Amino acid sequence: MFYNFNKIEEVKIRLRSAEGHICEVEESAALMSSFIRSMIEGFNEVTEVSLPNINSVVIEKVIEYMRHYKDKDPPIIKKPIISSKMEENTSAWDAGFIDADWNMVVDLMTAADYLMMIPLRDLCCAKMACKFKGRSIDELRAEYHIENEFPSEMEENLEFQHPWRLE
Amino acid sequence: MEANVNIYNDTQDLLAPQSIDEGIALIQNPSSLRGLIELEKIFGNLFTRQEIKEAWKLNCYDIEKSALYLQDLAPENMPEIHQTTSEIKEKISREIELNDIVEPNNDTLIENVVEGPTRGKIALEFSLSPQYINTTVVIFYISDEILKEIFSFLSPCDRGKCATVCRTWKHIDLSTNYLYKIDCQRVWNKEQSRPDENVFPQPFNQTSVLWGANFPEEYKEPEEYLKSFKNWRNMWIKRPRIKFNGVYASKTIYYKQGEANIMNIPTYQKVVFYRYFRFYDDFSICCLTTAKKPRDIAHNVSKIYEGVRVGEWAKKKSQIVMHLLAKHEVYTYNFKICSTFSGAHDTLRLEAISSRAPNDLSFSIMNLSSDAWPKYFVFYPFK
Repeated sequence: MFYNFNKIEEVKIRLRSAEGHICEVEESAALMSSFIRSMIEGFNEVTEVSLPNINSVVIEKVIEYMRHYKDKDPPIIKKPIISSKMEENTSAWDAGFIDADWNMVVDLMTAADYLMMIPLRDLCCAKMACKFKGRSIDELRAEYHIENEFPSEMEENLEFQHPWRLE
Repeated sequence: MEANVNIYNDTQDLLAPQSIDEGIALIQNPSSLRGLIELEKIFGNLFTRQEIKEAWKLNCYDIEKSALYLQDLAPENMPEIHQTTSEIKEKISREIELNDIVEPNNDTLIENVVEGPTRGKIALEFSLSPQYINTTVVIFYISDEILKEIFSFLSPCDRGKCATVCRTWKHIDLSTNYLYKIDCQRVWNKEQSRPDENVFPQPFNQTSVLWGANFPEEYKEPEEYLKSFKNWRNMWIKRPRIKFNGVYASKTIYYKQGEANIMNIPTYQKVVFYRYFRFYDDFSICCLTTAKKPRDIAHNVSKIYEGVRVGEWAKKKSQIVMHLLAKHEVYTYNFKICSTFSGAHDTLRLEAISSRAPNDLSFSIMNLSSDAWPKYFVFYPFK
């Protein structure tokens, strides 16, 4: 009698998205998220985790990240970032992974925050910081639909309150 | 399990927040999701969804209080609380028929996009929030904590810029003053680590006696002085520092008497020249005296430029002492860092100048009141 140990499959965690779709991920990869880890360790034999505020596109993206960093540690992004291009701040894979539109990055970040995946959250934050870096004030206001809240006298004062902003 | 799933799908319009207050209540208290479902399970026969939600709203989004409130309202003959799964299934299928609930798909996702407000903090949160805000169970915004995380990746200059964009960001810049710790350490730790001896032994090959009486004996600033800044951001603004990304320039004008002309009336010549100082973070300095205007030459001043004089500098608090090497003598300058407004640190005020021969300890103090010496050096940043 020979047991074929290779055939024993790893336990898969089923993640239920906001729409009700189910995405499967290997347990070792899913443990990267502290939220899922606490669910698995807290309740015995939990194989399904419901994530009612994350939609399935984002979950797929998160799983892609989990699988890539299953066996290795994600690179740490240095603070402050040195350039407004993501390639110069982190590894090429990370830069390609996070190269998405604004809404996707926001969703990914809130999801990472909810799932307590600090490396992924930092990656998203760095991406958003890249978008803020090197922009003028008017550009920032236009891009994020922020009206100028400061009265004109205060606006002049602001320049004097933050003299280092031109360094 | 399936029944539970159905409840989830079915109760989506129950849970979809109707107002921002509700959304916030749902975020702050995730257990209220299940609580609402439980409330509907218990009181579903007696009250409509709208009534349950209103009761929930009246009781400040507290599930237990609203359960008690509903129990008071309910007639005495309460139905059985525990229902079997089949009953729930039946009820749900009945409701679906009655209300004609359509499950959300991609088409409805686009239709339900909310037009957010355009002013203020809420507008910022809306602009940063996902578009399908109305269709999912819970609204989520970018919280201040995450904005702080984003700010931690920015350099102080970018943070200063962001702080002038809107009030929320200004508040976040103020509340993340701990981020300035790294920048403060980067700027001032190097300064504090300056060796007591001369950095360049040639020709200053003697001990620090050469520096004279005004030389700061040690560069360590006392701890009481550091504590007086209270927080890192305040230190970043208030503590005087030398800027390396530009030159300090002064303009000197004086009149020189020339030869008498034919009518025997003396003529005067107007002499204009500029003096530039560029500081380096390895405690060296270069000085250039020229007639060229700052906008032509400021970005070219460096140690390799023709005709510059080199020297070294030291700093304590707002006092700067520096030596410049001339042909046959050594000039010692004493400066004080001044600001045209709080936190600018963009002006050097000339306090004293003395000169000596390299191998002679006696020095002579120059008269600063003559027109040939400038009073102020103003900072010109590189482009």
